[in-house]
Amino acid sequence: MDERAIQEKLAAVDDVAAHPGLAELGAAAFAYANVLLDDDDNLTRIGNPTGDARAKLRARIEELLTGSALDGVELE
Amino acid sequence: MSGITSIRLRNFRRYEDETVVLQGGLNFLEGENNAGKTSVLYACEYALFGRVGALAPSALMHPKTRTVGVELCFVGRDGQHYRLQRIHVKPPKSKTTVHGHFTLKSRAPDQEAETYIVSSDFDDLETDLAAALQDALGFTRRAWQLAVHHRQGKIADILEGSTQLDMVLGVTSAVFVEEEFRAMALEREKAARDLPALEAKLEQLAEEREGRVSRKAVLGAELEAAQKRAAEVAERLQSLDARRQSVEQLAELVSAQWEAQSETDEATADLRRAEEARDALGEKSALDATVDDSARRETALEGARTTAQQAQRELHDEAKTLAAARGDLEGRLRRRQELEGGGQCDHCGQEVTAEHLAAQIPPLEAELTALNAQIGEVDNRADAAQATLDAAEEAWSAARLAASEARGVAERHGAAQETVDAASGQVQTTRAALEAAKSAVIAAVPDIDPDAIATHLQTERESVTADGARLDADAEHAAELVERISTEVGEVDDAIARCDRDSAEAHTSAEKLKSDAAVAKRLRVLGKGFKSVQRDLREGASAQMGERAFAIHKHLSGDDRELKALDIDPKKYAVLVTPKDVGSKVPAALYQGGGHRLLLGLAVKLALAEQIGPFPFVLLDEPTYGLDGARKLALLERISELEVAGQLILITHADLGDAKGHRQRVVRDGNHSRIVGGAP
Repeated sequence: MDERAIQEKLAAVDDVAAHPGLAELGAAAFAYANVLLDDDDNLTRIGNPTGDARAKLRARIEELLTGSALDGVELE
Repeated sequence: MSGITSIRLRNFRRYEDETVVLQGGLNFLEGENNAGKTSVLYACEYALFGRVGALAPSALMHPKTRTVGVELCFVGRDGQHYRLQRIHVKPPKSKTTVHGHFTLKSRAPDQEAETYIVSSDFDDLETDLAAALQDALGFTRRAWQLAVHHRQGKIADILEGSTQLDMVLGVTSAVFVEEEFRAMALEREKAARDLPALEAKLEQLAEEREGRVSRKAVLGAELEAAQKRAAEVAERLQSLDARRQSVEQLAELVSAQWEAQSETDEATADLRRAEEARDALGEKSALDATVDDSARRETALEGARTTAQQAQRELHDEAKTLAAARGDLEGRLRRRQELEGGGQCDHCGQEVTAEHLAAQIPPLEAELTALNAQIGEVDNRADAAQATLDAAEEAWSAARLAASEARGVAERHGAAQETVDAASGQVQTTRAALEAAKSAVIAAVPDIDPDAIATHLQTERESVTADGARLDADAEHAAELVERISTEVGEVDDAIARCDRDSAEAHTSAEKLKSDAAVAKRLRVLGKGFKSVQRDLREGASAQMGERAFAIHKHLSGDDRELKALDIDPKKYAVLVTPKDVGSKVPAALYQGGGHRLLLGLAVKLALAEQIGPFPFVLLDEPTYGLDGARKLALLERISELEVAGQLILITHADLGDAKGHRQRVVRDGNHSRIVGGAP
């Protein structure tokens, strides 16, 4: 499942669509998760993501948050 | 066209250096068993992912070589031409260590120049290459394993379902990111709980700052007044210094006058004492007369002494003469007395008689008596002369002493006069200095009575001292006040700066927490979104795949009478079929024989490839394995009619007959595998 398809699926969710840039960010995080999970080294023996993989994904999401529409989001 | 255009294998398993050239559409790699057909597909996997299943790169090396490499050229989904090169090298003497390198370049279809996309030479990682390949080809390694590369003998395995489908369908990734979004949202929400306290702190800091600023304004006015007062006192102190200087100058002048007066008095006293000392010695004329008289007397007495000495010397000579005569006479008398009886004279040798002698002795005795009397008289006279000389000596000595004393007194009188003259000169000098000092004092304070100057000076001094003490106290007080206020102003400034700093920090923290709270909301929304995506992916994909697999199966089997329906269970992705003769769903894995299961498995796999694709190419390794000859050819024909991918690469050892497609043959030449081109 590629990034664009996920973005479209996310954008089809009303709550997500209400926030510009959110679907794009989610799709980018999804794509990175795909890359991580494609490597057996990032999986535990029972198939869950390792702590290292989670840390990498977390870092990537933070990176995406910094450079995305969510950065400097209008405060409520 | 999209798909693989060529695969070059160097020292890959039994290949030394062979290139497989492929075309769009259906491609056949045909050959006998163990010819090396599957190695070509392994070469693709090696090039794309750096490994083939669990095989280490060194296990892929051609025997007796220490390198292995594959160059894979393909056209991606975007129409770009890609060249992927990968090699592994075993360093000399190494048994297990291998070093890998990869490079992915691309070029536009109408250009020849290639551009680097990723390369291990530029420190790019395998994950970078995987991401680039996913962009270009649309599949990951797991998708490759499940939907792109269909391994020999494993095609029907998918009928039992596979949790791996969660991976390739993106469900696992959706769960993964949803969990992370949720965890990150929770962290931010927890942090945002501190926001009210932070905002209260901000308000408190603002109030504190306002109070400090007000206090600073008051202190500013106080400081200005204190500084003004200090400046006034300093100015008055400056004036007092000038006044003090003037008084000190006058004091110096008065002191100089007093000193001149003292010196004058002292000089006058010295003069008086010198005059008294001089006058005590007598009048100079009298002293001069005394000197003259004593000199004359000394001279006179010296002459008398000389005369007396002369007289004494004459008497002494006379006494000596008389004493010589008496000796001679006493000798003559004694000889006559010794020759009393007569005899020869010892003196003249003549014979003298006693008579003669008796005649001569009395005269000689009388003469001797007279001579003794004369000597007595001379002795008396000598004694008198000696007395006269002694008296003259004494008188002369006294006169000489008196003259000397007179001269000494006269000399002291002269010296005393010189002292008087010098003292007189000193008196004149000091008097002139005194007059000058008096004039200077009068000039300095012309309005003051000279006799009242000392009083005036004392009064001024006391006044200046009193004023100075008062002004010093005022200045000290003013300085202390300025310092105290300045210190307090500094403290207030520090406090304001601290308030500003704390406010800025608190504001920044509050802004971050607000931002965190806002981001947390969106992360929650994303988490929920991915929850929805998970359902959609699993259920939607299962439904679509089931529907599509049913259609593909119908096409591949060429028979729509067998199955009524084909479903995929969204929980485990197990394939369920509804045979028309049964009328209810049964697990496909248990359904009929191997040929049917192979067709079903192939249909599901191709449906999966469509579902998570489209992919530029799909590799099928012996998809007709187990089918009889007629069915094989029919199946191959029908596969070629499917449009599951732009390129199908099919490996088979079956006789292809006149099946349509680009063919290449793999042959075994001893220990080497070779590619032999075939006709399309």
